Amino acid sequence: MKKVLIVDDRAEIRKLVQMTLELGEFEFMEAADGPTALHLIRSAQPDVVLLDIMMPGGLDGLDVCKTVKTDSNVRSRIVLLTARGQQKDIEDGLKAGADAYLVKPFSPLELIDTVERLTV
Amino acid sequence: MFERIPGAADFLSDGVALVNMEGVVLYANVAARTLLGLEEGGQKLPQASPVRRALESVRRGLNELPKEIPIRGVQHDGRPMYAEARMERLSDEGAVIVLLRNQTQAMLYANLLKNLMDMLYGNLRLPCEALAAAVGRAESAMAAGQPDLDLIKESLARAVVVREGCEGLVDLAHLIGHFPIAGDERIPAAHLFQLLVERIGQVARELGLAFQAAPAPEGLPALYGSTKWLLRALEEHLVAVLGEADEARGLTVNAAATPEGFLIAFRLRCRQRPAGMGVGSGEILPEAQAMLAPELAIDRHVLELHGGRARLHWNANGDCLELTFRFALKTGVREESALGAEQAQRYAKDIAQLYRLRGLGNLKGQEP
Repeated sequence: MKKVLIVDDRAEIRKLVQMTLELGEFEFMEAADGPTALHLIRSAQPDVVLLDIMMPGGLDGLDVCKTVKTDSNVRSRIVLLTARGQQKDIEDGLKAGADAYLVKPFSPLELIDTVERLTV
Repeated sequence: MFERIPGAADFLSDGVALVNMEGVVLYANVAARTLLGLEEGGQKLPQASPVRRALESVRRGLNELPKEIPIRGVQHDGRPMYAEARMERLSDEGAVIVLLRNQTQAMLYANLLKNLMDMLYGNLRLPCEALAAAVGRAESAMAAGQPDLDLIKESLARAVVVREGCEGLVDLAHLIGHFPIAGDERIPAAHLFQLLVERIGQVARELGLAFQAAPAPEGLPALYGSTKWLLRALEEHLVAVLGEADEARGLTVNAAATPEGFLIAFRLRCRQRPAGMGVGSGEILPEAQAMLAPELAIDRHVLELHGGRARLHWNANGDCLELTFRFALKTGVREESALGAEQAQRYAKDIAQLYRLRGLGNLKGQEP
């Protein structure tokens, strides 16, 4: 079963994302801030990480993404899922190594499609 | 896929519904069923439903499909809620998306005041720890799912009490009394607009500017959302001019409501262009600043507090030159505050797409 880590400081978004993906063959983990996310990524090696950018805790989503992508021991695919939708934000996200970038409010169909594509 | 998204939409606190032009409900999540007054297993909107009446009116060719319909008399856990239907017609198939947003009055009230404070204080960066604490308490109460109006009022009253210790703090005490907190009355936007005008005028006076408020624009829709709604409503109807001040010195002050916040522009007619300032626009120059300071009683410090958003514009205008600079009083509201309703709308659109793909629901209006 593929593992999906949902990282967002808002519990209702984590729940919504999980419920949207729930009928897929996924095992879910959650984190509410950057440091917790980083710990879980390294320890549990999720297949896909759905990562918010603006989060408390000292490490934002871009920091987490950059750190993960430069760690050769981690192979998780990263999807930035954020309210920041300016072109520059998207460019910054992809430059940080994200495999996909989805803007909130997200399309549930697009979310499912993206996660399924990255977990094939 | 077909079951997955509608299932997830059940989790949303905003209502998501797909209704055809006959008033037949093709899909409604749990929140929407409550807000639309649908009985268990019911598939058609109640005859008295304002949404259904609107649809019938459209079908008879009497009206365009309204974008928003207020829904009254909705109760949740014994508290009155504000609810509305947001309608969107799917372009070629005649179906509508209905999105219902709801907030308890206490939440609405707290959000409204928070937005106001964000706009007036956060943007001006005036020190006010007490106010921030009051907002924090109100937010905690909301996060706990128990928005306690008395607690919020008390917190705000305390913040106002310490006014003397907060430089530049605008007294919000009398503002509280203007908001209906019982029943299902909505705040007239024009009324709130007037209050905002007063608040902005007060801030301006503290900055040494004279404001003369113009009458509130007429014909504004009732306000049943946050200040963001107000700003949108204002933008749709007109650019609100707050007033012209100090004409004798050739100074005019204009404020416009925009979706992002209030835009305030100062215009000073000068006979002579300040040294170093070319025609066109640019950042504030020291020479221009030196000239402006005594006239406007706004110094560099105040401008810098606005993050350098103030700019100077030179325009040739007859025999004199106009020097205008403007800055925005942004609401400071995180975009995510509106995310809930927008997210629900995305679910509604995707659900509609799934229905179309499955060929279900006969979106052109027939019974499913």
